[in-house]
Amino acid sequence: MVTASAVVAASVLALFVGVIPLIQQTFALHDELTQLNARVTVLRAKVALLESLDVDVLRGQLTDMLAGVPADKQLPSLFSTVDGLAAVAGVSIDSVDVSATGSLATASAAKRGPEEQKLGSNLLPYEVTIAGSLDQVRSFLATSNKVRRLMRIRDLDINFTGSSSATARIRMDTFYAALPATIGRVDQPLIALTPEEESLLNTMSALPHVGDISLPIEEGGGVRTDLFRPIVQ
Amino acid sequence: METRDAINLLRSKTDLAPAVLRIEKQLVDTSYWIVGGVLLIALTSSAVFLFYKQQVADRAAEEATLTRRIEQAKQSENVYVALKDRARIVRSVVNVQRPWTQALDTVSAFATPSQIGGLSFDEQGKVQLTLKAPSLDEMLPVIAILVQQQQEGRVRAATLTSFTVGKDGAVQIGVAFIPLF
Repeated sequence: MVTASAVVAASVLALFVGVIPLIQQTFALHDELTQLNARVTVLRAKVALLESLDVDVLRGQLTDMLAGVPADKQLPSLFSTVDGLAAVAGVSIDSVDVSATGSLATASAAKRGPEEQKLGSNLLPYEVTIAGSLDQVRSFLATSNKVRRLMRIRDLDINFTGSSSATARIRMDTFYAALPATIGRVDQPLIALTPEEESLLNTMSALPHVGDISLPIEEGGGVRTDLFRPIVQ
Repeated sequence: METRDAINLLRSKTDLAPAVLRIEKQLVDTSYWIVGGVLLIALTSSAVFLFYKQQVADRAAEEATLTRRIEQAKQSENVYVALKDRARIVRSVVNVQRPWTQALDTVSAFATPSQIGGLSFDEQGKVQLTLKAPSLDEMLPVIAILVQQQQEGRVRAATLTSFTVGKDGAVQIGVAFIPLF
């Protein structure tokens, strides 16, 4: 009887000192395994996506998008686009006035207003005065929405100087935004391009250039490999 | 004095009561069960523990491999993230572009360039128009078309902002409306 009691006591002691902690560690391992599985699932999807991408195709698509909304102000491209628009529409340009140019270099650190925050890009307002027939002015307005670099007409005044000629003073905005500074953590998931985004890429690549667009600086004549380094002008 | 050949008639052990014997037997049986149960739990827990430990080791190794592959594809990720970000911005920009030519077409539907003195569109999409005609009779059809457009739902909030008749009977009016794109 004493032996049996001792054995029972030893068993109970073993239960509390050894078995229960072991069970607790097992549950902890289970939790850790659950988290690991979740992370590995994300990483697998990310690797599958990344390894399915063609970098050259991506670069081409990014180039098309940057031609629409460049990474910095690119005033030369703005002037050349307006010039190109006028040539396409057949109007003559009386003046182009760019306000709030600030620094000619990228203004990624500049504080954004509410509208800019909503858009996710900086605005570069300007005013252009053109002259031509009403049809030519109409063509200018229509084409301005269908070219790279992207522009928006904020408001305009048209004065008719004759039966068929008009002068239009148009206040417009163009857009620019710096490239992302970081790409996030390794375990941050990547989402594949949605059909809407694919359609947008196709639309942008089909938009004509009517001006000169500068692309991210090339290093040593080759393709810029690290888009996240600051652009040196 | 005891000798070797002596027989000890005294009992060396006292008999226990039957009840106590039963309890002792139950205790012994219970101890077998307890020990067996603890052993079983311990063995099962150990097996599960070792299984999970191996799984964790395998997943951790896979995580390290996948992380390495992602770091090797950093160039692709750079460009892809930039592209997704740019697409988001371009989409929001495209959404704020307005089809102003539709507003011009709306105006052209009821007025010719010779009848238009001035035309402006503001940021809120409101059109302000100065119309002129040699006489009121020639101005009335223009106004009628504008009214019809409002009734058809092509414009809204059409208002007459000014009305001037010259000594020679020439009429100049100001109208404002919001074209519906």
